Formats: sequence, structure tokens, C-alpha cells
Amino acid sequence: MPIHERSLIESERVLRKERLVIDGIDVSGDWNLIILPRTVEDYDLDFAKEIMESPDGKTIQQCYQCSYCTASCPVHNYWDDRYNPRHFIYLARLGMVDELQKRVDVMWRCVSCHKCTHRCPKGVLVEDVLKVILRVMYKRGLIGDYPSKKFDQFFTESVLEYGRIEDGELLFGWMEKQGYKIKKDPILRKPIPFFSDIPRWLKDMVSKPIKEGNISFIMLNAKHMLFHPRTKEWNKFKQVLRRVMEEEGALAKGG
Amino acid sequence: MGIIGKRVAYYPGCSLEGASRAYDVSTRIVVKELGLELDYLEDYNCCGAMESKNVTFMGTMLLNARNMSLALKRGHKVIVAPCNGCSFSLQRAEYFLETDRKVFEKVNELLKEGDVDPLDEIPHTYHLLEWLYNEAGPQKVKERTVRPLKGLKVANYYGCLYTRPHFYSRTYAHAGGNGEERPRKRETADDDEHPFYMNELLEAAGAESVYFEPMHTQCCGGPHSLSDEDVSKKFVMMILQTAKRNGANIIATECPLCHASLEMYRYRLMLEGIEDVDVPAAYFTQLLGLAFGYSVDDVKLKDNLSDPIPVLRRLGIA
Amino acid sequence: MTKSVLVIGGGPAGLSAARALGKLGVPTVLVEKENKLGGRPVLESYHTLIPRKMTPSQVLGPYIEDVQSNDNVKVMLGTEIETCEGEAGDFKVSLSNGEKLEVSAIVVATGFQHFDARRKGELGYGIYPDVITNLQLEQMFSKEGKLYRPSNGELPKRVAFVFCVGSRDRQLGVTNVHCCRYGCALSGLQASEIREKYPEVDVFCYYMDVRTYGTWEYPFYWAPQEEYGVRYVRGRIAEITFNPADGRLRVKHEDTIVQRPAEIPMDLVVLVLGMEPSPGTKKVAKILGLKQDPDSRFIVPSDESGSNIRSNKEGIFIAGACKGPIDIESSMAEGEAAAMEVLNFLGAKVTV
Repeated sequence: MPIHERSLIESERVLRKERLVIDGIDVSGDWNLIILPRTVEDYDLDFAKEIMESPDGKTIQQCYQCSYCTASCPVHNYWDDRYNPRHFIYLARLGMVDELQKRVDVMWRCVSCHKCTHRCPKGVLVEDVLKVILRVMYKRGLIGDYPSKKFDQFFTESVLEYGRIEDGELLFGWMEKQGYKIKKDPILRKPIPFFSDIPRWLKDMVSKPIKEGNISFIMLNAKHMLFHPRTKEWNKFKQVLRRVMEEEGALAKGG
Repeated sequence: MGIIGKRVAYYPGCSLEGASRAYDVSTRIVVKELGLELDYLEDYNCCGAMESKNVTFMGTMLLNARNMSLALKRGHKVIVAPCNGCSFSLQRAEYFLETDRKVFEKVNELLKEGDVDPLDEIPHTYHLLEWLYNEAGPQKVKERTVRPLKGLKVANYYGCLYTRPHFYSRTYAHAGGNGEERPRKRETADDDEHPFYMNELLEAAGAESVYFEPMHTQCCGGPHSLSDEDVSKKFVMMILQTAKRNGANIIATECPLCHASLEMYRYRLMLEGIEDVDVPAAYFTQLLGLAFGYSVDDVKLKDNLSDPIPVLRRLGIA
Repeated sequence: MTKSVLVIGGGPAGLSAARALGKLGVPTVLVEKENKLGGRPVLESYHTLIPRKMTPSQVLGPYIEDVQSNDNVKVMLGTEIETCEGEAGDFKVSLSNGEKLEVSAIVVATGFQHFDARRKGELGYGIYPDVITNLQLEQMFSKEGKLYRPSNGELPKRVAFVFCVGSRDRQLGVTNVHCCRYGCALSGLQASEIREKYPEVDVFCYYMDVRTYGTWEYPFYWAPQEEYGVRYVRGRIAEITFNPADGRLRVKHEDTIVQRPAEIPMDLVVLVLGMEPSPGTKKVAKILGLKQDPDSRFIVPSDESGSNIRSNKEGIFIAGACKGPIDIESSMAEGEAAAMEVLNFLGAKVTV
């Protein structure tokens, strides 16, 4: 029997027993450690199919696992080598969902720099494909609310609501989601940065224009925070957009 | 030169009308000085940036198609966007609309439902930098320069999406081959792995470019600058330290998202006592504006969190 | 009268050689062991030939006709050679039917045989009816026009192709270490044909490398994936078992990319067979004293000549799969090249 590399044995698969009896014979002592098999029992081809059916996911079929993408990836190279686009593509194409799930803690870390897509010798839209994989995983409940997902959703729903985004709303709204106490005015419920419990860098950042008397900058941003910039001819289009997103299962769960 | 058009639709994007207004204001100055014209795309909507595409494919197509439709309605076949994220989003939509008939038809159907004119053709989007380089170019910049950026050692930071991916940006290597192997290539596009348009424009204005590869197109953490602080911080640190150690006294940017990320993390890294990260950032249009004789206030240099004014003052540029 | 040229073997290479010689007016004798011309593709009812996706009758039919209708070519079916004496320009050959021939030159085109999959007991061929060879799959297509599981006659939900059965295999000794050269491409084609006709059937190719060289790359490697959705899994199937609970096979392998052992249910498993020198090739090589590769026993060309058509014996030329795995098109081209070499050897002058 081959000896598995220690790193391939997850602790969940190791069973240790004080006493072990097999066919009436007490083998404790010699055979008290059992490693459960890690055999793949099937592929989840529906999962793979859903990825391939998305226009931005179909190039997954063109991959030949050369790993040009992974070799180019800054997250892989400078952050965590467990982030491996080539490997994710391979797993997704076969529908090896449990293997993908083992990597959910890194899978979302793509910073969308597009070196992978740009350089892929086979024309796989790697970045898009990886995002589709995440999208499908999220839809199927295979991955939880990972940080960038929360931000993407927050951002997209702001666009859906107003047609435009507003930097202050994004920044303070996000900080609030991170658990910072953001003080809001009682009437419009808009954030008041200076009385909020926010990190020093952010306070300094906000107070710079005030210190320097950059009045027009303050006025512009205050105006935007109070009156969210919005696209005027938006309502009808918004309805269509909302429906499309509903059909794609893209609206926030329960929202 | 001169094959894109002197008068184009201007898609500033949300950021440029808010916290990054300095880029918008300085862009308008530079464009005017170089004898070009921007036609503001009235009532545009957000392009979805790098976020909504991760949530909804068709929704993101629609957001961009609506903007394209607005441009066509105003008689434009060319859209110029100063933001890497916006130009990426529009070009990405362009790619799918051009290459996937089903997507194109579906988008048009949905546009009609939303009371937006369907697309009878697909306008092309150019990044501001590509447009300026091709329609005005270094020579024109040189002619207009009244206050050369002498002594300014610039690290030209292009970010990711100005040149990548070639499917959307249509960039390709300028050297080697005849370039015709890429069916969607664009004559006006910058070099994909070694972009140089910003270098040449700023050099024409008297600045000196420092060696900045490969960090000139390395990611700043961009779309994850709020949601993944650890990665962003590390990436920005690498970029800033490379700039500083290669002798730069300023980083020139051409994307509001990159700019914000660099400035924000620069300050946070400095608070943490990290060395060699204190290079300030300015939009390349702000620097060109100064070269064309405009003041610090004209190009809104006070808006820059990283405060490049002292460096510029010391060199007698501002 | 000039002496005849002897062509041994009536497959693609031998047919092409005899046809070319006949057309150029050279008296030729074509001996073929079987009772029919055309070689493996015709005898074994291949369905579609790589790389041009034509049928054996489309490709070889006109050649057979040309050979049979040409007065310069004498075809002797059901005949083998027994002995050969003499030297270049003057060979004395005795045949299994008792006839003796005097020939000036010989073209050997004795071909290959398929690997016998039963030698790989772990793959269950001959034990589980749903484990078949790619040759049987060809015949399913060509003779019955449908895909089914031999065990119950139903359409399989999943088909697996097991690459390199009897190829690149040191387990079988030194005889089968070579690559079969056609298997990857044919599997790509067969898999595509299945997917085209039965889109509901999922097809998997288990590979170590995919060797669809040259212009075969797109049609037989990428088209199966991009156009037909065939899935490629990197891992060599080590064992095929049968699960009585669901009546399906299990293909056992290590998925090398995931680094995990895997046992995947399959309904039909197709073994992609390697090529070996045919018994005729080995026999003829011995009779004529031709040099063979010490491992695979394929005939090898002369060390002295740059031409891979010339054997180590003057006046004897070798073409096609008797020299090693080769595709049908190239085999035919080699037959024609051999005819040219014969003309050159004979010093024949062709007037135009």
C-alpha cells in the first residue's frame, strides 16, 4: 500500500480508537489508527454545466491546464499559493465540488487584475470563469458570504437602486458592515464621520480637506452624501434590471 | 494619428464626479488645451465596475449597453472613459456583444423593455490615455507645455485594466510579429505588457520616467481594496517601495480606483511605520495641467490625499 | 521481358505501391494473406478514418479498383510467401500456394495488429461485456449504426475512453513501450461522434498526455472539448471493476491533478488499443532477413540511407505500419514512395 504524503491526510479523516476489535479479535495497540479513504465517488456535472452555460463561463472548456494563469497570478505568487486558478478550473470542469469547497477560504481572493485572462494561451477568460465558479457556488450554497461577495452585492444593489454609486456611501456603508459604529444624523440617517468610531486613517483622511480648507471638495462630497447621485431616467430600466437579476438569482438572499 | 476622433462621448464614471473630481477637472483642462472635445454623456449610469460583473452577467451587460445606447443617441461611435474600471466594463460588454450573438439580441430586447433605444451598432470605448496619445500625442503636449516638469521623476503606474485583458482592451505587443494574428487588435492600443503612452506624454511635458517594470501594471488590490485589506496593503506596499527605490518622487496614475487605493494604503502603511512608501500620487492629467501653466487649485491638487504639493513646490512646478 | 516487382501485403501501403507501379507500367505481383484487399480498415470495418474523416471505402475503394483493373498488377489473395533466395534484381520467392516467382525487387507492406486487451487483465476486457475496444466501437458504428452497452443493449449514460492500452507500457515487457500514435486522435473523433449523435451521453477521456500532433491538434483534441464537450481527465485507469448494486462499471485511477484516488461509475469503457507488428510482418522480416527493432520487432530502415523506405537489404523496400504505428494517409504515401524507390532501383525511365 502506498504511503500517503502526510500533507494529504486531513485530520477529519483520521480515526483514532483506544480499542479496536475486528471480527472478534482485539487488535488494539497495533491497529488503533484508521485513515478513511478519500476516493472520489462521482462528479457533479450539473454544477459544471451551469458554469459552461453562462456566456462568461463557457471558455472553461478550452483550458489545457498549462498553468500560465497560476504562474502569472499575483495572489498566488505574493499572497497564498493555495490560490490556484488552474486547479480551480480543473475542479470546476469536472464538478469536484467538495475539493472546491476545501479552498473556499482562498477562492474569493482574486483581485481581478486579469493577468490570467490576458496571457492564457488557449483564450480562456480565466478571471471571468473564476468569478462564474464563485457565482455558481454561492447560488448553490457551497460557499458562504465571503468578504468580496458582500462588497460586490452591496455595490451592485446600490447601482440597481440609484443607477450611480457614491464613494462616501460605499466607504462608510462598508465600514458599518465591518462592525464599526457609524454615527448618523437623526433625520436623513446619513453618516457623520467625525463622531463615528472609525479607524484613525479614515478619520485623518476625512479631516484633511477640512484642515486645508478645501471647501469645494467638502461641499461636493457632503452634497453627494446627503443627496445620493442618481440616474434620472432610471425607473423603467431598473425594473428590467431587477427582473434580470432575479432570474439569475443575483439578488441578495432574502433581500 | 487622429483615427479615433477629435470629439467623442465622455463617460466620466461615478468616481470622477465625487471623490476623484480632480481627475475630471484636470482631464477637461488637458483635453481643451490639446484641442480636443468631450461631449458629456448626460444621465449615464454606473458601469458596474469590477463588482456587478461578479454578481450578474446580463445585468452588467445591460448597465453598459444603456450607456452605449446613450452615446449612439448623441451621435457618437466612440466613448472615452478616464477610468480603468469604466473602460474595462464598457470594453468587456463590447466584447460579449460583438462575439456572442445571443447576448446581443437578448440585451437589445431588454433595453427596449426598459425604454432604452436598442443598439443598432456597438460603439467602441477607449481609455482617456489611449485617446490623448493618439489624437494629440507627445508632440502636441510638448508644444503646449509652458512650465516643464523639470526634475520630476515619475513612476508611471498604469494598473491592470488599461492594458489587460487583450480580449477587451485590444492591446498587443508592439514589437515582434505583424500583430495581425489577433483578430480584435486595435491600431491605436498601447503595448500590452510594456505600456508607454503615459511615459511619453509626461516626458514630452519635461518629466523623467523612472524604471517601473513590472510594478507599472501590477495590481493595487483594486476591487478588493476595501474587502481584502491584507492583500491590498501588500500589493500597494510593493508598488510604492519599487517606485521609491527606483528614484521616483511622484507616481502618476490614470485610474481613480488605483489612485484611491495607492493613496489610502500609502497613508496606512506610513502610520504603521513601513519604510519607503511615502511617494505621493497625482493623476497624469494633473501633471499635464501644471505643465500647461495651470495652478495647483485649477487641477485640484489639494484633493489628493497623498499631498504631492510639497514635492512639486520644491521643484518649482507648482 | 522485365522481371516483376513483388508487393507483400494488400493494405493501404501495399495497395498504393502496387497501384503506382502498375500505373507506371511495371509488372507487379501483389500477394495478400487474407481473401480480400484493403487491409485492417476494410477487413475490420473501420467506420471513419482519421484525419480526414472519410470512410475506408471512400479512401481505399478507388485504390482497390485501380489495382484490380490494371493488367500490370497480378493480385494473389490468400497467399503468403514461404521462402526467398537470391539477391537484389534477382529474388526467387516461393509462395504458400506452391508457385515460384522471380522478382527484381520487393516491397514489404505487411502491417500491424491490434494489441490484445486481454493481456491487461486488470482492465476486465473479456470479463465484463461493457468493456470494449476502440475497434469494437468502430464496428458498432459501422455495422450497427448505434451505440449501446453489450450487457443490456441500452444506450450508456457515460462512456470512458482509456488511453494507451498496450502502448507506452513497460508492464508488458519491452515490446509495447512505444506510442500508438493514432489513439489520441481516434478517441477524440469517436468521442465527438458519440457526443454529436447522443448529446445526452457524457464522455470522458482518461489520458496521460494527449498526442494529437501537427494539424490534428484542433480537430481531434480541441473540437472534442470545445465543440462537443468531451471531458479529459488526467490519470491512467489502473483497474476496472463491476458494481453489481447498480450494474455499472467503476474506473479506478488516481486523478493526478487533484491528487486523489477516484472510482467513477461508467456504463461503457472503451480501451484504446496499441499497435504491434503483425504476425506477417515478423514472419516476412525473418524470411527476408530484414532488420527489426529489438524491442518492438517492427522492421527498421537501413542505417546507410536517409530514406526510411529502404530496408537493410538492397532491393527490398518497406512501407506502412510494418515499420511502426502510422496513420492510413501516411501509410499510403509511403506505399507510393516505395514505388518510386523501386523505379529508381530498377533504373526505369518513364517517358512522358
